[in-house]
Amino acid sequence: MIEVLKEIFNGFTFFGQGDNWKALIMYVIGGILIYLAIKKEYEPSLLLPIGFGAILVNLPWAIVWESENTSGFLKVLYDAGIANELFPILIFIAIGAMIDFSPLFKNPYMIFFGAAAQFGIFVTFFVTLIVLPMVGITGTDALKLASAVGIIGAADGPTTLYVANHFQLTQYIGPISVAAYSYMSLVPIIQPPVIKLLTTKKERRIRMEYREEPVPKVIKILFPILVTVIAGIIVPMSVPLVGSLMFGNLIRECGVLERLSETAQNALANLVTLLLGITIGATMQASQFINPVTGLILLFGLFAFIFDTAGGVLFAKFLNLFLKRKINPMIGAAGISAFPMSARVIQKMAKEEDPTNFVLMQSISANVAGQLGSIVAGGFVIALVNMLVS
Amino acid sequence: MKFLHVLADAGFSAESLRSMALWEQGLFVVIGGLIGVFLVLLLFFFTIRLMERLGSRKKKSE
Repeated sequence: MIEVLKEIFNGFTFFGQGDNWKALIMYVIGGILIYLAIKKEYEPSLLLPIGFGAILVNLPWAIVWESENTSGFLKVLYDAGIANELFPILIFIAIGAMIDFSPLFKNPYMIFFGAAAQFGIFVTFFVTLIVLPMVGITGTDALKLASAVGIIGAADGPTTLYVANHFQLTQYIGPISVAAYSYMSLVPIIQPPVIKLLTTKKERRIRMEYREEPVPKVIKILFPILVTVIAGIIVPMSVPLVGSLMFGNLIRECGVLERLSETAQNALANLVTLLLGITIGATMQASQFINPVTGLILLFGLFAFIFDTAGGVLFAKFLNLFLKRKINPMIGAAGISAFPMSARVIQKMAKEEDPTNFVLMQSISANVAGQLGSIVAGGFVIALVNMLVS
Repeated sequence: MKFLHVLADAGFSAESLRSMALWEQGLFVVIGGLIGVFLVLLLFFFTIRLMERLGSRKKKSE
């Protein structure tokens, strides 16, 4: 009789077996993510599905993941969209369709902020590589994990996922994606103190000129094609990311695919975000998530984010040493990829210092450059680390 | 610094890169990556400038 009851209510006995009590911690983490999404509105479209997915997959026996050697629906989604890198690529098509590169065409030199703000990726990669052997991760494993942790600093969730997937870091994909997406949503909290620490009030009040000229359509059409070809020749590993981003952008700019552009920007973006979020949440299985490496990933992810912001600001300050017309160094911080949140944060900060100062368009230029910079950086990290691990 | 020797050697191979210490491999990725990102974005910059010039020439001719 007791055996029968045990079998029927095996959901209760689950928590008493082995390490299964850790699932309770995951419910709390999932709850926190849902709270942040609803109450604080931090990237709700991602954090809510991630939080719910984390709860789902940690329910007794993880039926949604696998049951009696049959894949559950979340495992099916994982295999179909994350393990083969499809979801990040689809997201990039959607992002490409949303991006207007016109502000960058008017301030082409802003593209260098998109490079400078990738500084944190590489610094974090190096520091993580030094620290990982202390927790028992060495050699090629350390190189692969450090790559994905560094990329978190790009504030670019799909690129982070792409790199982590490329190196088959299945057991770390949960903490890596949670760090990437939650820090992305925390841009308004993380960036301002770093910027204020590195700039003076006078620097933050610098005004910048902006040319309001229409960009010829031919430039808007040629740009995505040429960028794809250049990136494809120099960093072939970045082609899936650059190619999908630029494909989305070409759909937007060509002027004859209005319906596809609308679909990519709305239906596709929403659908993939929905599936991506809950599938990422499903990777947060307690047995893999709760360990010291997760703490390291979250810590160094934040470190990467801070150093990326600092890299952009310091690069602008460096340029100001030589320029007659000074750049507002806050613009450099928009060189991270969190589009368009970072640009908005910079404009808000500029307005706080001087209500009549308008630097939004320059910030957007740096922000879209950051989008390009982060995927190129992702491509380079994969290409260089591949040379060392293959 | 095996790293510098490897880079100084024009014919450095993947083998020699793999035999470096972990931190040297890290340094290789950092330097290569930063230079690479700046180089590619520099090319994007020239692409934009070139397209701008072509655009303005076209305008003038019209």
